[in-house]
Amino acid sequence: MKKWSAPLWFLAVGILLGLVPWLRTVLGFPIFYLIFLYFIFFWVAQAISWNILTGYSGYFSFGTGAFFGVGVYTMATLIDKYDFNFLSALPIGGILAMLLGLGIGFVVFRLRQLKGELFALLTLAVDFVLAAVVRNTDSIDGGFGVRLGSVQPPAFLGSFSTMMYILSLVIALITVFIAYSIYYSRFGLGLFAIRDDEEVAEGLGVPTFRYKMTVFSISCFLIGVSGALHALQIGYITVEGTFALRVPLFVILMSVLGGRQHWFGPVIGAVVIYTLTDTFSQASIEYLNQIIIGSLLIVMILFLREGIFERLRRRFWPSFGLLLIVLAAQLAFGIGGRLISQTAYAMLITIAFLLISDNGYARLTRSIQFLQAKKQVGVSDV
Amino acid sequence: MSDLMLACNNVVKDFGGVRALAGVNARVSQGEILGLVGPNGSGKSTLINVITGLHEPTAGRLIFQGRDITADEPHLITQLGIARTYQVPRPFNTMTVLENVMVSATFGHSNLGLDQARVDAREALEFTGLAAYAEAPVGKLNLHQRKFLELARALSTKPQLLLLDEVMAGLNPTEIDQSVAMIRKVYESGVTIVIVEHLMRVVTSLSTRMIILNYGRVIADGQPEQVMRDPEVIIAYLGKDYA
Repeated sequence: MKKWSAPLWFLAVGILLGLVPWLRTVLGFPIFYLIFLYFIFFWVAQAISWNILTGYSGYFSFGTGAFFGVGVYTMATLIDKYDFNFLSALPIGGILAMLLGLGIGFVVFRLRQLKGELFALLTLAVDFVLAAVVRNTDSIDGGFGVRLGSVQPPAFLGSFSTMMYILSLVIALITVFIAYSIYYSRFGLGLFAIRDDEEVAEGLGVPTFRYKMTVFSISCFLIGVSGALHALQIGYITVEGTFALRVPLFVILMSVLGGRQHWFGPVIGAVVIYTLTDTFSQASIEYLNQIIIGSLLIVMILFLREGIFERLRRRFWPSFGLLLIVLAAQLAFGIGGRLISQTAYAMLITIAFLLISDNGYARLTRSIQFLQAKKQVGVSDV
Repeated sequence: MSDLMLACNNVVKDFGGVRALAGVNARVSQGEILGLVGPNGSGKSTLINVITGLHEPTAGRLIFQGRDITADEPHLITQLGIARTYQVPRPFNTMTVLENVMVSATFGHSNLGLDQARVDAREALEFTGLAAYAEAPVGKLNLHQRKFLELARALSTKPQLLLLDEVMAGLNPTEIDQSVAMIRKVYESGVTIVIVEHLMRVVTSLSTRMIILNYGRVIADGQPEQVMRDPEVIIAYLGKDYA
């Protein structure tokens, strides 16, 4: 059920995380952590926006790259060629991505047959077409890439990395809050009905066409804004890097890992996947990166299709405790490398624990309770 | 005849080269239970799909309470007051029983808020005897309960006209008696009903009027006793030798 206090909680989380850049100087964390967190927020925003469309309404989009690309190139073009202020270019990136989404939706959503793999392929095709257009349009890219000069952050946002951190935090928070609000609203209920059986939903009074258009445009807008900000982070923008399948694949992976049926699932997925990839690409086991992530996806699909979030919720304290213990142990013995890698290893072990089936877990807790009871009664141990 | 509720004027529906409805003329009046029967493939379900807007008719007009609904979208037709159940229950599988009914309660009538929809949905579950399963996932329901869930969803849209597509198929005799009692209760609350059914015993006892379809055409229309004696109906069901 939706809580009236929810906006306050989001605000509180925002303020706490917003203080990090200033605490950093006090505590002496290297600036690298800010950039790491920037990427976490970026992926959270991307994964959640994807999930608002795909997880909620069931329309599987492979075209995140297209809307992301519109955001990236809007920012690049506006500040590089038209001397726009980058802050005003952010929402424009979102709006253009939204218009593209509305255009596609207007054609696609009228045909009820275009669901499932056909919708996925169609959105993917849009990504490829757009890449070709951008590559061949000299006033946007023309095939040579766009190198962005450094932008001047406004004084109250501090240095460039602090500003990027704060802006991505704000975008991620707004995105998650929108996902949360939709999840508990009438609009959300209508979307879930569309996901489960669109024909029946329409027959029971859900205005399916309008709802699909609305959710698609919200999703595209958020992807576009987040993409526009990311243009500043990349600095040197190329068609290959922007419209590649990396973004859609990661976003899908994160949502599947975290869980698509709940508003919070993709947040967990984004944090875990980015922490893991960062760890493996830093360590000298870069070649293992894709193997590990790929195997993780296979294991998830085989054993935990609803994503880790649902089980995490049911076993919150045991999982959280395990995470902390593994982390503390690594810190105490000085193993595992940097803090981020240590966190990544702790996450992997916690995921392994979450893979224990519900039956297996119930048996485990029963045995523990039995042993405790035995001790209380005073029977010497077996 | 009392007030006209729904008029199908010369409704034709083609699927590719197959003519499923070949010019159906039918009227439903306020306050009747209309039995819609006919052999397999005679166009009963197609007619329901056309009335609820799922399929747009190839030709002809549909007038509901004086309003032309021929080209209206299904959700609008539902909100105007026509509800239906599916022959094979189609619940929303990721939702609980209560949430299933909340969808229709919040969207099916007058854009209710979720809190009011929850109240209405519970009422509909109470009525259909599913209140105990409100929080259960749909997967826990058996066929009989799923059929009643279909009915609860349809009722929560507060329809004036309810189209029941074979609600009794696959039920055992006790469950059929329960369903019949429930349909009577709905009828007594002032809802006009069109019932599609294969069980002749049920239709003839429930209906105040019957329409027989064959090959997408109305072949008989009248009181149950009168219709059952009609030679054309007997031919359609039993063959020429019995007429």
